[in-house]
Amino acid sequence: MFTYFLRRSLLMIPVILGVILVVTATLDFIPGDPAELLLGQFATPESIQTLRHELNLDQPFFVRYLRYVGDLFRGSLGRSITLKRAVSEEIMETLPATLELTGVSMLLVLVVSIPLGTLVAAKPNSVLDNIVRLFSLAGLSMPVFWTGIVLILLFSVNLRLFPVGGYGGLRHLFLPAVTLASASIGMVTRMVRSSVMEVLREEYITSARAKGLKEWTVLFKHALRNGLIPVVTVLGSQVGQMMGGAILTESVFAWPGLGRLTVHAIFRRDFVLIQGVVVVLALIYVLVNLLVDLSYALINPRISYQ
Amino acid sequence: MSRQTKVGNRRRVLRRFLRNRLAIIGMVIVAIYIFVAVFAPLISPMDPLKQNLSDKRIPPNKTHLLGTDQFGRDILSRILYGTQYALLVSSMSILLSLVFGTLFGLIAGYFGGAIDEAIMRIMDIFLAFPYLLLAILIVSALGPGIWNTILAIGIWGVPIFARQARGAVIAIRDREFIQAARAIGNPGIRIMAIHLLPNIIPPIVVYAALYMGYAILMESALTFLGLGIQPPTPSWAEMIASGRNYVVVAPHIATIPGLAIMLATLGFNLLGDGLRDALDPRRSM
Amino acid sequence: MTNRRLLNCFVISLLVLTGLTVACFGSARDNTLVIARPSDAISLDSNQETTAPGAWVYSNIIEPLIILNPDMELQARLATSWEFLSDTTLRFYLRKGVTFHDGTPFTAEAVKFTFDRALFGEPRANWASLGADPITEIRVVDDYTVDIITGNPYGPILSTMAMVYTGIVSPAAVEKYGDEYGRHPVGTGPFKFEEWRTRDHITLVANENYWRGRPALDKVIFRVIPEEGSRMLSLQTGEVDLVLKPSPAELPAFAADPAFNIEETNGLRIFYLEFNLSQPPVDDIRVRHAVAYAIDKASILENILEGAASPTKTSLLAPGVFGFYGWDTEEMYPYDKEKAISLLKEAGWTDENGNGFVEKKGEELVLSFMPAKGRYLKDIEIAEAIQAQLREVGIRVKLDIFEWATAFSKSRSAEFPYHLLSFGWVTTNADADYTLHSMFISELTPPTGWNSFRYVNTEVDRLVKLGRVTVDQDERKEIYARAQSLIAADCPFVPIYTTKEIAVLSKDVQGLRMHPVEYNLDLYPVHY
Repeated sequence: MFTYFLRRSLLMIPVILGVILVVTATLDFIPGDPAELLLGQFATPESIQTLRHELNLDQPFFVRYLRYVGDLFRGSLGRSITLKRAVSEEIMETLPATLELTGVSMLLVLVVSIPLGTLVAAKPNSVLDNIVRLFSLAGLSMPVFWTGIVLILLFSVNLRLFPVGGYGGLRHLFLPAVTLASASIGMVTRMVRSSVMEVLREEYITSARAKGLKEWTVLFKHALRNGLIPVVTVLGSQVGQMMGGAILTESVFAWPGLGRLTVHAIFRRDFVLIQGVVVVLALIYVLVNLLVDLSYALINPRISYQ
Repeated sequence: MSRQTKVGNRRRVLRRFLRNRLAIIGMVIVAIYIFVAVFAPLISPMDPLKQNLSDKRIPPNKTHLLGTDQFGRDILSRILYGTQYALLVSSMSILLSLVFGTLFGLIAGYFGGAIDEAIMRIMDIFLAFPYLLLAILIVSALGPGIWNTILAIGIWGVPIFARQARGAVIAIRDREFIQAARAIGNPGIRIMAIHLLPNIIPPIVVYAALYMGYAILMESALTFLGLGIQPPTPSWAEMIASGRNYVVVAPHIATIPGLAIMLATLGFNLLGDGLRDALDPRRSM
Repeated sequence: MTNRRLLNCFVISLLVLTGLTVACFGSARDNTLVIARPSDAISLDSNQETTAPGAWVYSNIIEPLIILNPDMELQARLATSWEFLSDTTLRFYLRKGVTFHDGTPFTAEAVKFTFDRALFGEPRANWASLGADPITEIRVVDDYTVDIITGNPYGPILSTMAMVYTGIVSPAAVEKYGDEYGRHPVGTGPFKFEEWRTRDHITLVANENYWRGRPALDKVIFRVIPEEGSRMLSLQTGEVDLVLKPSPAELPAFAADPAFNIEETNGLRIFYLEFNLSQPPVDDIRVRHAVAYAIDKASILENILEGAASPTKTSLLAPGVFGFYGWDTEEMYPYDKEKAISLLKEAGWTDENGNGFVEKKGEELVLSFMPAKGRYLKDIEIAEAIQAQLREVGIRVKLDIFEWATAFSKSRSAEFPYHLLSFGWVTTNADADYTLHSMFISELTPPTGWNSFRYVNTEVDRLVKLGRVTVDQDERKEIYARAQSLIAADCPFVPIYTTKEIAVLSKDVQGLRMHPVEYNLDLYPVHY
């Protein structure tokens, strides 16, 4: 078990290095002199030289890449040019807001999708099943930023129940969390339904029923627990979706999280900040996938020794 | 596989597809969108670019069926023309993903071993990016513009198609007819092109339809963030983004284009689902 | 069953949490003023940020020696009086007994420190090139007397010293925070900096020891709400008490609503379309005139700005600025599509191939336009309207939209390949020299100067340089009038609107007076 964990963790490292490589390379493609662009009105030949040296722009690509990785291991993500502070500091301040948002959204997704998906798996092709299917499909077809705007229109403008945006407690978190969750609920419900249905066909379910166990117990105790495996995988993949969705949701609701920081960095062409944010997000994503793999192994111990 | 079984298979797939009501609905929706994209100049009631500032923000009425935007432009015309841009960008991106993804998957699956490992590790790196992030990174580096957007969205799809193609190749590479072809001494490329490719196409096509939906959503997301096409080209997501300012006085400007996006995505999702069920009915959804 | 009890506990705690949060975020009115504005500051160091998002905040934290009040008269602040010892030496007598927020005393040393840092430090302050160049030395005479010395006689010296950027900072704080000072500003003003959550809000608290007496408000919170619709909505719901940069579309409704007041005054900022004269074909004056005639400014004012801005005169100086000379833009360039088309034809541009756009010798007339976005009221909407209006006369406009900071940086670089640019310029010290010198002197092109038009006119150069060193104010007026006439005839820009500085507030908020110079947001007299 432990060796499995170790092996998977170590495999993570080349992926992260690869991500950093891709990010560094992409930023290379920006036309024009990044230093001159960043300095704009302050651009004098001396200041351009200084900034180029600071950003290692006067070095060949690989040296820059290695320096960046080296700094990363020492815990430094560089210094944001536009914000004039350490990138790691800015990220540490902003990350909690995004974690709050995605955490609550994930919770909403689980609380709605799992029971709903299980219920309709037990009664396929019923009226409920078809309604749920329709809503799921509609849900995953809606652009998440539009969902947010529509919710604002309904609940903030017309009903005045929630604020239009900004940071705060549950009242401020509710609409953004629902918006972000809406993008995933459809997908996850479908997954739960299909995997629970698959499990329900298995023989040990029939034998459990034959033993005379109540339908309820059969459904939730046996089918669900085994049906959870692919669901865990889907949840893992939804984290990636949520990160993208978070960028859009935070924009719509002016939620001061990592998503908005990314947008800010990109529009301001702050390469150091962009690099830092993308690396952190990719790291989180890879970590989550690792955790998914592990819990996968925990739920079904037969897998861990492959 | 004998020719007769192949034809028989195809007929069966077609029949399964046609029996699926949701799939038909999807197909009809997609067909309508394609029709609108092609014939927009003919069916559009007004010039989508013509501004009429004093007619600004009119809610839907008899002259303007969907109302006007903040510049007095007819929203219905802009939505019809917007189809062109949306379908163009998403189909080109999917094509990019499909071509390169299938190529890589084919090579990886056929050759196996170190080549397989190498290609798949590279794919893993790209998959490690949360979906929108890679696209945003590329567009911000290269600048906005239609080809950069296509590249950004297309790159994201490459590892996904590669995985699919590779999986399909692995499933059949040890079958008899492939072994036979190898034994005769056919070069790898010939085997890949003539024997493997036709057999892995069906699942790939299904994914192409499914991912059209994603491509449309991704393009909307990029445009909404300001990384898409520049004005004055009509674009649904741009209409939503600029309409946000008027959500209190003229909500129709920001809300109606979202329905266009949603319906397009839904159509492709239903179509893709239907195709997938028709090809593999055990995975009924 | 334990599961059920767990569920109950969860639901109850959720309800309690909601209740508590609602209680906390319910009307936090007490004595706090919550302000909504479109964007966040970049820095609270006036050396680094000269634009409104930062200036609105730090104008309440730091104070200059003198200021211009809303009636554009000079008033004493940290200086009690002043006198000219000579044409090139201005002496200020400073106020005694004033302390910075960090407890250190305000003295002439602090004044010298602030100006040295801004004018001679590395890097120089943004505002150093905006009218402070002639200052050569700050001399400390004694603890409460300081001399400002210029190389040559400098007419606008007093109004330059009144700019909000020149607010005095605490040397101790700058020493302490170094590079991070921009996030921990310390001054002598009525409010102290408390916290800054990036892209969300900045909090200021009352300075108990303020030398004019403690302000009426306890706390001020500057919030960031990018969408104008959302800003107005948060005012409606009571989440904020004051909105800066309100939505023009909603102004009539708020004006009619007795629960809200509108404070406005004529601003000094001109929003205009700028030509880059180094890029053909806009170097041809007939093309420039064609563009000027093709823009329906009245329609833009009525339908896009909807009364939230005023028409312009032909100068980049607003009528309130000293030395202003100009006449109605509508008079000089009325909306006339036919005239625009015939001017283009005169210049050789006609629609040969019938596609709706004009060509010359087979090449289409395409103007590349880099507009401002998200910085000035309706800037991007106006750019799109101009694009559509120019299309009507056969000119194709290609828009290249960047976020404001990027666009601004690009416009300030030496190489600038665009034909058109849109910009808003305010004469911060309300003196003609500020604008005419920075923007129209031939050699002062970016990145050193602000002549992004790349305008070259030797007579204008001579006049403006003369105006700077002339001390007789009437003479200066005449000189500047001649310069502005020449510039208007050359048409390096098309003015679109003059700002009105407008704020919408809940009726309980009293004491706010809007200042013609946008950056001066004086919150000291505000109370409930």
